[in-house]
Amino acid sequence: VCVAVITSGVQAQEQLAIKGGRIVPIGKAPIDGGIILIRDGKIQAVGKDLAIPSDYQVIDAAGKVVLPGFIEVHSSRGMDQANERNNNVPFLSVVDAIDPGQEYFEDCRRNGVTSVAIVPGDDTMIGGQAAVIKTAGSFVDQMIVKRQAGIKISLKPGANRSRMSHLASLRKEFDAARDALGGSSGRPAIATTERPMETPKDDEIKTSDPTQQPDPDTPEGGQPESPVDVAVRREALVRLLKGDMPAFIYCEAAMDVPQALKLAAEYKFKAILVLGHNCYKAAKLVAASKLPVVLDPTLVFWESDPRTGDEKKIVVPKIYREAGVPMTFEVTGIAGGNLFRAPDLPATLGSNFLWYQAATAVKYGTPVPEALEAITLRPAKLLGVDALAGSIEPGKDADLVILTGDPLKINTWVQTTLVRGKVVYEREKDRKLQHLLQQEKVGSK
Amino acid sequence: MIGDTQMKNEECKMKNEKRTARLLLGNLHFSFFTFHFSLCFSVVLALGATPALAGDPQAYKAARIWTGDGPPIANGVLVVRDGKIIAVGSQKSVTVPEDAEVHDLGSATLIPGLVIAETTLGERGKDDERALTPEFRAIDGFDFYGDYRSALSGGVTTVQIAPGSRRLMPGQGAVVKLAGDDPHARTLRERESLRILLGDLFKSPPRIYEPPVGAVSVDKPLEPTRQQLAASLASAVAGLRATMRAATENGTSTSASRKDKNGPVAALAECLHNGGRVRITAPGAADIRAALSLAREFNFRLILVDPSALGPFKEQLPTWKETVSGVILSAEVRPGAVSDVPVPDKDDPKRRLPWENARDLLAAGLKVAIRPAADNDLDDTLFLAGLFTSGGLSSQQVLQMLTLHPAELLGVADRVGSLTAGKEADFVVLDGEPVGTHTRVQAVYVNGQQAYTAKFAARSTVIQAGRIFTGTGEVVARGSVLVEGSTIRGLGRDVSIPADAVIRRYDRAVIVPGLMDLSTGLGLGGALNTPVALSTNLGERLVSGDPAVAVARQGGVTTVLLASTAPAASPVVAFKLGDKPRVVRDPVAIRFAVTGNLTQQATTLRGTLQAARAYAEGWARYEAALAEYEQKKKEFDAAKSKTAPPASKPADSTKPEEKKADAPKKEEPKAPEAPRKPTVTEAMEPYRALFAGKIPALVDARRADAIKLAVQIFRDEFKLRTVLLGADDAFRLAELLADKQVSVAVGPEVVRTVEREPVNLAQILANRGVPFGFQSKATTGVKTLPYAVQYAVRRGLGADDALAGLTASPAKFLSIDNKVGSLAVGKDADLVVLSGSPFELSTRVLAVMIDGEWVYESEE
Repeated sequence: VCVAVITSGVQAQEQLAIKGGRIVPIGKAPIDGGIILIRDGKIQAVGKDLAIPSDYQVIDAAGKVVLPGFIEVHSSRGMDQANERNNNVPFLSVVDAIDPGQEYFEDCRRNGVTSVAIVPGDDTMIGGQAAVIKTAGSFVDQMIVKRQAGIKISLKPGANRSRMSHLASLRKEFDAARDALGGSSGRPAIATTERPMETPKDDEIKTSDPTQQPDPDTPEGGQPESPVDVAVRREALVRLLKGDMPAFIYCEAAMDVPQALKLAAEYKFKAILVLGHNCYKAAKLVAASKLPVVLDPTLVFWESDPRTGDEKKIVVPKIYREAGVPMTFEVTGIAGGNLFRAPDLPATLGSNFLWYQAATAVKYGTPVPEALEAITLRPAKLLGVDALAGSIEPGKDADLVILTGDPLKINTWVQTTLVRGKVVYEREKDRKLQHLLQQEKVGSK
Repeated sequence: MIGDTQMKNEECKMKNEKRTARLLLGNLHFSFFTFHFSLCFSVVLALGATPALAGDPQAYKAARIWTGDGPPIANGVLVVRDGKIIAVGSQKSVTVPEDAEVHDLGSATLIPGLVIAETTLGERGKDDERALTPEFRAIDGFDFYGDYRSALSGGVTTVQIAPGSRRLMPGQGAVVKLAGDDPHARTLRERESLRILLGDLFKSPPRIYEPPVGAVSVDKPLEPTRQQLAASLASAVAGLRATMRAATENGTSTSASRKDKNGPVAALAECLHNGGRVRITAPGAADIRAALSLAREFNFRLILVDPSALGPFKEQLPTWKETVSGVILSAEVRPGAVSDVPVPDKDDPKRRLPWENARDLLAAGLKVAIRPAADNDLDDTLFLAGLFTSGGLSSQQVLQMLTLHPAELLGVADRVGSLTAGKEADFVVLDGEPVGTHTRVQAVYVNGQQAYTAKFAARSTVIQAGRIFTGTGEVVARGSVLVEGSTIRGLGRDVSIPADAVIRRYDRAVIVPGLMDLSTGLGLGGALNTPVALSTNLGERLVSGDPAVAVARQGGVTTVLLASTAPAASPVVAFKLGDKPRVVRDPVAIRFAVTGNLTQQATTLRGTLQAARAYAEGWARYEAALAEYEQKKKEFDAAKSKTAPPASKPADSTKPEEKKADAPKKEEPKAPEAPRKPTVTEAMEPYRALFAGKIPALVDARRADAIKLAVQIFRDEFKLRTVLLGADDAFRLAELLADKQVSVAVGPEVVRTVEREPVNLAQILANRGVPFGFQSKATTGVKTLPYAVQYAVRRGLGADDALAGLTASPAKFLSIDNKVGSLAVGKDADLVVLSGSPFELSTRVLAVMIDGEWVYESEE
């Protein structure tokens, strides 16, 4: 486990107390008028009648609500692009592409998101490794919470490719990784440059030789690979099969869900299901699998019956809730899908905010505490970072959000966001937001 | 797991009963029992959510049951438990378990769910670029959550799915069921057979780079694409042979297969190992020969698909059994379509029909499966298979080729393919013999669960409500209205209800007739304020899908009038606000206006009406004369036929008395003269109905002097039925109107303030006995007319009078009361369901029906 190094910037506000207000620790009863003591970026104590040492800087949260920082469980933003064009790149890591200066992270802080799992996009068969990072910091190494948080696998076949071909390629990769895992002692058991078997002499039957198959997944084309390269390339998959990290498996349609479960069972790895909105049809299967679930940003949509033309409203969180699936949410990944996406377009409110997703679930029947858990403690557990984040408990990182009112309400704003005990966002100082609200006022006149 | 819970549940139930009994007997341990009782209760509740899985057996009785492997059973019963068949046989021989739920299907016929040995219901149109991909599995491309209702509606429950259809060796097929929740249980065989295609389809694989494109430099230029494999049958077979040889040789060496378990060679080796199945599509005679020789050489079980050119092999067929598992044939025609027959094969000049092939193959003891030529025809499988009876095959044989044979051929006969105890309960309910022209699939069950049921549109609706206001003053408490088609067929406390009727209950609600608005701008998608010639049939101009109409009817108005608001005489049409406007009567009236300069108006109107009267009277005279003429003509003809000497008269001497009687009437009657027909003037035609009193004149007159003038001209001088539109000042002249029998359309301002006093015209007219209706002159605002009337009720108008004013009363003075305006048997089914008494403040419109169709339903 990678333990974060406390950055020098935190020193100035090493000791903090948040006083007054309502503390919603998640998993425990809320405390009205409580106090949170923060020291060295960690939560030191939480309670009602705590003495605040004199050298602690005090943030007055009277009349406000304090929550653990929200956690985005699956995001492909913060990088230059989500997907590698090459289809099979298990050796890539998002850490190499994260740009802390991107507006995305600023938006995260503005909306109370303090940790986020950056995961490669949905379009690459084996997309590379995910990482959990904090949303505040100047350099990615300071932000990292967990470097190898999982590997991304997508069951969505590329353009003009069939699912049969896609799964055949995936199985081939898994077999190779399994062989590498099984034969890790001694010689590399992975395919080498030597021809494995005699090939038929008939010139026309090129395809009978597997090494000569035109393989769309071979990254460097037909170049012969050295055993070392292969070992490096497959290392991440081997780690997956060892159980060192989970796989985020993207299922585009309901039909991919049984395939994902079959793969996970056949190759015995830990899986997290990333479900496209049409996967709701497989909700029963998902529930029976007991696997953790990340839902597509589209939570409510209309579907029309191809035969009768009848329109039906599909409420995804309701379906999974009724099936007994604990869910987590994803937000829309469109570039600039934030309040300030373009100067001439009006600000939008919707699935581009994590809290909005939780609020949508509440609208369709999820109780508020459960919805709050789905954006805090549940993603922390899913990502294996619940020892550090996800709830307000002594010993955890002081990632906190101070809201102006009750959570998941439309007129509630994020007042202050803290990451590792450091104030990283204050509404009063948010010039962009002020500018926007100013514009709104002018616009309404 | 489910079974477990059920057992526990049943045990629990039994224990419960015992315990409850003991409890009643005054047994001890009260708290102990209640604890268990509550526990069991919760289990029962949980299971209640999925009633279909309950463990009780289900028994289906039917007139005939075709098991698929023998002759039909008359008066049979099929017993199913937990998705499996536990017994099948005649009702006499099979004991139905006591706890079974019995479904009597009457005269229906049961057959096994159909099994189709080859479809492309998997992934379509995405063939790989490579020609040989034996490692591909069709199951990977099958969507378990897809929509297979079309195939199910044809009785198809199990299908083989092909991996691809445009490459030489596209992969391995699978066998799946088309319905069910659990993908695992639905997969009957994950890897069924390896597919090879001969014939023409495989011959154009894309050219590919080989080796794949790498770094390009001067030393290492980009190579051109190369042809993969063969474009001819000979090289394809040679290629297949070489590949198979490589696979079988390597298949024995474990190291090779372990290294590349899911690679192409290993996959092929696995397919061929231990006499695996390979299906080869081999249309021509040469293709069939090649397939047979490959099968013999590599010792696999062959499934031949679509071998059309079987002629030359007729003698050898009995020897095929050693190699050939079965043959899949298609009917080669598409239902209801004309298809070109292929040009004869040079090896088999005498083209044979599929049923002839089927007959020969069956005679040789081979298994034959029938499939439709295209997936889109799966819903017509029974029809297409029925064509095989024309080749002399029996219904039983045809059914076998759709059920047991394909199941055996696919290796799934242990689970499906016949109605046999122990197999899965996949069956189809038919309304007749399996091979019958008019037989329809009524329902399809997969694993005992209903997967499809034919929906025949219900022909009648019964609406039950707390009270029904018929519109004629009568109120039926706790009544029902039976609607068949667009007509009311029953109304009262206890109406007869057809078996298939849809029943809608509105316990506390009130039903009133559809309301009427006497002047609107609806129906044309915009206002009509330009003059319209009287000869115009406005009804033909009405447009469908006017969005304003959809809003207008939400208030309960179902029939409206439309006319031009221009001052000149204009036709008026009455129509219904259904999705498609339906004309009630066209024209239903003629609209005039007495506005502006009354002196000038009076002259114009008199002139118009005089000309009209002259025209109408001319026609009336003609009609009277014509009627008289026809009467006389009839008499004359009768007389003439009597007087005219019959041809047999000279011979007829037996009736002298008759002759005597005729004799005095000897004088010849003069033939009547037909009256001269007046010329038809289209623009004047509507006046004939007006002057005949069939339709009224709607006269827009608001001020007192205008009203007086209108009454004078229309009532006194021309004796026309008159309805005043607007008639704002009619409250001053109510007696006059009553005296002259003039009706009024009140509105759009229903209650006006005149000299600081509110004037409730409708109430005044009601008290004087002047019939009245209401008009809105609005478009979407028609919706609010009932609210305007509600205010009149608040201001003193009786609710019954108000309702009559919106329904029966205008229907009567417009002479359309034979169809609309009240609720009675035989009238149009136009009605409004209200949440409470009409015109109460809290009352809301719950639903509106026009011509038997629900056009609006509130979201409550």
